Amino acid sequence: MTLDWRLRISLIAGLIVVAAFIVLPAIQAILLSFEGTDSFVVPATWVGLANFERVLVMPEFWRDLGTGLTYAIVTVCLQLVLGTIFALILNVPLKGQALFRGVAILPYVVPTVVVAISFQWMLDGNIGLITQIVRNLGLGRLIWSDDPWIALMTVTLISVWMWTPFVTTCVLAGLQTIPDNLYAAARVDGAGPWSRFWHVTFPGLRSVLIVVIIMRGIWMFNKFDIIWLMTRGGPLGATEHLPILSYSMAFRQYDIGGGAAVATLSFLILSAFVALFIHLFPLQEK
Amino acid sequence: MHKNGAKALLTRRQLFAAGAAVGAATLYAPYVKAQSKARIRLMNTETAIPNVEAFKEIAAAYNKASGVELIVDNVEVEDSLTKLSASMRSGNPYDMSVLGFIGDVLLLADQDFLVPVDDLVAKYEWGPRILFPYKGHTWWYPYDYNFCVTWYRKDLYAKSGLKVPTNRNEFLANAEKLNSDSMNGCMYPTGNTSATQWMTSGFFFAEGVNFLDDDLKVVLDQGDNKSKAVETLDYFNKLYQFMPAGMSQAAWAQALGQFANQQVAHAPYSARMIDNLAANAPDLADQVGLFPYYSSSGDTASVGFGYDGFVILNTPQAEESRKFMAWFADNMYIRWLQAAPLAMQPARLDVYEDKRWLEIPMIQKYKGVMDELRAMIGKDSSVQITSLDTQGKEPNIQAAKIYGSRIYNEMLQSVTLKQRSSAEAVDVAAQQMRKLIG
Repeated sequence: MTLDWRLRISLIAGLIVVAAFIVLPAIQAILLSFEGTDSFVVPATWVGLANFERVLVMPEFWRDLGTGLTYAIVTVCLQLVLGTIFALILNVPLKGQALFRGVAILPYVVPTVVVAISFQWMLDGNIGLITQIVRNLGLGRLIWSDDPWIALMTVTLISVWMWTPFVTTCVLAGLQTIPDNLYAAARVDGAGPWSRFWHVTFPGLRSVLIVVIIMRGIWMFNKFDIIWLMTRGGPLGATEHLPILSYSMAFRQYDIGGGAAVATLSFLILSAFVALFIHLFPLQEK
Repeated sequence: MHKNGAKALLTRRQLFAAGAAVGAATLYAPYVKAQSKARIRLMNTETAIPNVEAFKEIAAAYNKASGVELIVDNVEVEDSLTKLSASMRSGNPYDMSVLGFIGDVLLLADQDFLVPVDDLVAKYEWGPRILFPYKGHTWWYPYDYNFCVTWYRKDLYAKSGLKVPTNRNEFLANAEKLNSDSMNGCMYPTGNTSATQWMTSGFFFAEGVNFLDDDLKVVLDQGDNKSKAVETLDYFNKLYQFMPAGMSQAAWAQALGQFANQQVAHAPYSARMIDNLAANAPDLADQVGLFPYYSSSGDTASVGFGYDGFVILNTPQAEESRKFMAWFADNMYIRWLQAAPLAMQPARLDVYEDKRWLEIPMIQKYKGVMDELRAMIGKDSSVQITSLDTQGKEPNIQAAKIYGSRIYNEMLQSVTLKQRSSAEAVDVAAQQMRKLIG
């Protein structure tokens, strides 16, 4: 068996898996958005664009799109800034570096459900650890779940805590690829720390950061588990975004077509954002 | 190098052949096993450990009695229809299922996916509002009511000289009296889970509020209904000031936990509250009493119910499933209820007289509690058995859709968190409900 054949077989196997578990379900979901049905076991009727027309005039759709974009943009920006800072710190040679790097990635390996339950208890309005600390500091009673804005910020910050280590790891890997002689040359030219970061480190991390932004953007826009576990979209819809709306319609309100239409629109919006981003920030500079 | 590579390849070939043989045998084994004896696959949505254990025992007993293998999968109740649909779409449907939403039963019955169980239920006498006949047939075999009532502490009542309330204003006064720095007067969840519907809608139904009329039109904001709904929301908002912080995140666990931890003086739940207290705070278990949701006058009362039952799916094993159901109904129904004897209040009336059930230690110990709950399904009972998803003349998918949405929950949240006027909250909710069910 030649290397060429092995490569082809591996590629075909990969394509089959992608087709079976990603492409076909996605096509099925898109087709469902043109159908009217109460459940997956009920025969569907073709309704054309009716589901889209219905969804696009729902105030909840636009509210949830706004919430989803806010959540994705804020979490990705904070993850990038914090992840990069942590990576720069962890890149400095110091005693126990391996241990610090291991600890830094811990939040990323904790199961989401554990994170959600832990934070719910720590933030409990009556007996929560964080609630007590905030109260002891004289900052009043923090009832995160009763205020729509605070609830959204809380979920956002927990998401940042959970997924910043991914950015840290990627950026740390990117830092290893920047040749030391570039820094040496910059020093010879009299560049200070900020100047070295801006003219050497940052350009060196460009490709990594672009990939991280795309990946994290997609993941955070579609992020379902942490929000569902923490708030189920409440209070008053403040933390509800399109994935939760889609799920609620399809699986709670017996509206499979409507839920699929929301998912399809969400997919199109996200694709447009990703295409625009890749156009503005190509991976390889022209 | 080449020689070594060929040798390695030979080893790989041998490994591949061995792997293929094991794989083929693994794939073939279930087929052979499946041919050898009948199997019934059942989806269980009662996932508490005693329920899972009960099914293990029931499966073993049935296997011994009939040679039929009962395979039980345990699934979270809120995911039941999704899992059931997936099994059907994959061509490997469950033969039976435990279901907890009548909307799911109707959907399946409408598409001939269920087998009627008229003859099986006809053998016994049933409590009210539990069989949900639809299109002239009974489609499920119910086993419990799960009445949601309000639990109170008898010791606290005695200490404060309080009387058990007989109308909702007396309850409000009691909650206020017991509200202190160390304990809240009561708790009722308002979050986006079905715990909110189950634990709070009793206030509305007791006052005579209808969300849908018999023709399945939304009437929440119509005439008398609106004023009653507004008054009830105003009342709930008053009660809310005596609740702990974070009710918009509370659900089942908080109701059990806050009452057991003595954070609240009153909490809603089914008689699972007693099961929980007996296990975690046994001293309290003997100190609690219950009352239904009362209207403002006290003339009417209601309890929310969270019924559950078995359905038989129209699969090639339907006849075997029916045989199992008949055997289960005669021999294991009470064993099944024993898994949570107080929480799973029997839907079948003969059980209340059955020695096997009466001898269950928890039933003996808390007979008073069960007598009170039993009285609610008696012929002379004035307590209405209600839930949002069973509104309307007969079971329907529209009520189930309203139940599954968060419109009701957000109506409560908008008044308690946003201080929106109750009248506006009712109008908004009614409009949203109309839009939802068309």
